[in-house]
Amino acid sequence: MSHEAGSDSLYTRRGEKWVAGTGCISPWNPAHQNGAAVSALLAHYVNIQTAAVPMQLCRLSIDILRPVPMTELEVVCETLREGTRVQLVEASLWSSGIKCAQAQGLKSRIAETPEAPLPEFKRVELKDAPDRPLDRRNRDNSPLEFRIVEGGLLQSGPGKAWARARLNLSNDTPADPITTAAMLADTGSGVGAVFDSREWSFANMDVCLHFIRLPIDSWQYLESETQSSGLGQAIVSTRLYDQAGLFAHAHQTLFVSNYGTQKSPPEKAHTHQ
Amino acid sequence: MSTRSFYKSSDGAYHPQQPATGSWNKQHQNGVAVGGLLARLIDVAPEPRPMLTSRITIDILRAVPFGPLTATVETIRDGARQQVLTSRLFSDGVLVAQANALKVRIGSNPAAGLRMTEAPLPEEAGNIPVTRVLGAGHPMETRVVSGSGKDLGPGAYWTNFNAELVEGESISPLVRVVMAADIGSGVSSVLDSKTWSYANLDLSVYLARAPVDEWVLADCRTDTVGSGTGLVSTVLYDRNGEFGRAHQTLFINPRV
Repeated sequence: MSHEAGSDSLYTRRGEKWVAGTGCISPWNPAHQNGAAVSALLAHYVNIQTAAVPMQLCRLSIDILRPVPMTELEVVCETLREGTRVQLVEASLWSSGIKCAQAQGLKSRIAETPEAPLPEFKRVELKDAPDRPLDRRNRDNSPLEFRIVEGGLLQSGPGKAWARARLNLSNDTPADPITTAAMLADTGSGVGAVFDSREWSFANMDVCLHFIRLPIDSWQYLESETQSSGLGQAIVSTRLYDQAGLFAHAHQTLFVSNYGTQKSPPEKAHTHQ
Repeated sequence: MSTRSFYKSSDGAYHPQQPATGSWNKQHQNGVAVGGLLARLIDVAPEPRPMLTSRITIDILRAVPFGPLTATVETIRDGARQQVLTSRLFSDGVLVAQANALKVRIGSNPAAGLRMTEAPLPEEAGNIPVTRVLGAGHPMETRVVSGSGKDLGPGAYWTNFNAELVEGESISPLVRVVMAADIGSGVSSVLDSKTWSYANLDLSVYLARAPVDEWVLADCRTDTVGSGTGLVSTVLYDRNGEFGRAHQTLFINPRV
């Protein structure tokens, strides 16, 4: 594999290419990249795309079209709709000429309008949150650091956690709060897991964020729950907060399938991120 | 013009009828109609095996003029596990709206996390129209569970459409829920609609299953921090309980 070990960033930039580091390895399959890394890269591109007037990101929708190999990636970004009110941006992620993932970003111009009270932010403060990781392993190369307050992969049901990015996006680009939010939105399925990961795989096929405002802190708080009607899929709903309160809702669609009796789960299937 | 269908299909185009009239501007088509049409295009696209549409994201790219629309559907990803599709609508050759959807193969696993609703059933709830644009003949029937058309803040409404989306076709469960979810911005408004416009730029719907019958309950709230946009968050129920979520991004602007 072409990835580089022991880096303090998810990716290394090599010209126009992004080379995946060990922090990008998927918990479901070590030959693939995890959704948090892919989401971070696409969020970064959508966010930096220039607009005609100052704009704020309102929605980020990411489709994981196929497993993203641990290889060099190229990102193509284009503006589908340009204007002074609204911008619609599309970014796609390519490996050896094959499109593996795509993102849509909806941005809107910033204006002064009346505000309305946000829902109350009830939480265990970060300083009081237990130093509890998402799962039993606490990988040194995990892209995220968790303080699980409730739930996680060891306790079935809705979950709550503080988390922050442990790695930069690349050697010259930190994981800013928007990039961090995109990574965290991808981990809602782990924080709010309901299926036993020794029996079931539940990788997400998409991740979508809907922003009330843009986040300002590196530490962010998630409340995640998984819901399924038993049709081999599930939706995860996550509320994202920073110190100032609720800033986004996020959702994931999970592909739920049993490992079956003939096949053991892959070695890394017990962890997520 | 028909009041019993949103569109008539002929000569390879969809022709808007009275129920498709815009709620902010009568020269335009409304989001319920346009979103419904985009969802229908996703729904009727061929599937390699039985699938559920798990997510559909609709972008209204510009005001949709009240005139015929042509449509395309592109398959972005086709596989045994999933399909990603984009449907598009054009007015005079100009792209006006598009939908991106994820379909996932139907399998089996333990159900989890979906709550029952304690709201009164549609038969027990008061009949209050949400829209007065078309008067008493509007095919969108609404029953209020909480909130009201007059008071600002969260609202929960049952919705049913006593009409066809495209003449001669019944409304499918996916189309029905996309149309029902579009009322969120109206029933949970936090701003006075005489002073502010808050048209939605998009609609995203997330589904754990399809609704069981024609009545869909949308429990909606709007949040805004006052920077020119708002976010509507909706929980979707039918009489069997919760089955999905929806969001709309609002473009907030002084009313002219």
